[in-house]
Amino acid sequence: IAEENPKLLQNLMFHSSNFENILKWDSVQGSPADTVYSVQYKRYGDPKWKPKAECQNITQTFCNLTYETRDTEEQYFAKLMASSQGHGDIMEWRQTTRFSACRDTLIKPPLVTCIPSVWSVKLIVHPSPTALWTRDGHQQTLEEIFPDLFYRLQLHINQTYQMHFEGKKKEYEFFGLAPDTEYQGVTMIVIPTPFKESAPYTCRVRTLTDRTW
Amino acid sequence: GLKRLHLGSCVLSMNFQEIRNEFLEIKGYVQAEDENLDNRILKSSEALQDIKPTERCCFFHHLLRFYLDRVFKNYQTSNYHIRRKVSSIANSFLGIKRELRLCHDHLMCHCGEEAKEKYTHILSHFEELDGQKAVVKALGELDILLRWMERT
Repeated sequence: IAEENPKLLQNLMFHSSNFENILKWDSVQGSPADTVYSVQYKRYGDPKWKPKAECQNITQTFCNLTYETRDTEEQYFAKLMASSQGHGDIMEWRQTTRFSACRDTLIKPPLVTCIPSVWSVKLIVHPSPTALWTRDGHQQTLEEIFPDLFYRLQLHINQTYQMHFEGKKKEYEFFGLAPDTEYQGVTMIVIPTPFKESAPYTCRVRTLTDRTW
Repeated sequence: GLKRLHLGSCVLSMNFQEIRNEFLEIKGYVQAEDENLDNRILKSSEALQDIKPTERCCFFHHLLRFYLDRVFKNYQTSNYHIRRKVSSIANSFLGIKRELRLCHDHLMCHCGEEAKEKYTHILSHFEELDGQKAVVKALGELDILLRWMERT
């Protein structure tokens, strides 16, 4: 059924960030209220489709396939059947394009603590958790999954002047600032291979008052 | 954009992001042409990064020649934009192949049993499929090859 004139569902696609892979879709305006959805998934190259048990005959328009698509080096498909009994037994299928978490996942902004002093501001970057877990129950971080990951930090001094840092370490201190002044710290995650950049994390911070006078 | 590809003692540098960006422009079109989701040509069991380092250069050389001689050359499409992108990727592969020649000349591209065996597997996956369908599938799997190269 071509996407041009859907009756029950549209926009079926994976939404992934930090390897949390959620299949989402939209119902069509005016489609029957009794529409239910059933999800199947499969790894590219495997012959069999598998049903996602928790997403059979559901009414919500999303389904968490993080666990089923957790192998970051593999590619996956999902397909969705929508059906409505009450209005002439309509049924529609849709299938996603090929999904690769490693290539397609978006990177969330980093977790950063901004600590002002009188003459400086320190930015501490914390490891970024993902939705992936090792067999022994350890939650993987982006830093573990992408060894060449690094951080890009800026401190905006005024409209034209910024200080920059870039590197893999966790703590960065911007010195030579004015007391009791507001600054804006911006931090991003950069992954060279495959190339990805996170959205920025921004913090507004005010340096402390100089009480030595 | 330049990245180093470590193939045993042979080390190449190549503009990865350029090839990846070019493929991203044709990925949706080419992968949509491939309706056979049950089969795969570049399987994880034959991944480049899992081959012993001393034979990686030879295996990679086979893969380059496979794509140049069997895939890019035979891919047919009426879409001019797609055709241009495919030939641009092919030119990048030709450049890599020229660089690889240097390693071969310096005897750093040894072909052993493992490289031959795994390449034979890939060829058989390819030849099991019908002509143009196999070409389309292999082209659609370029991102798998690029990922192998990234991890090498």
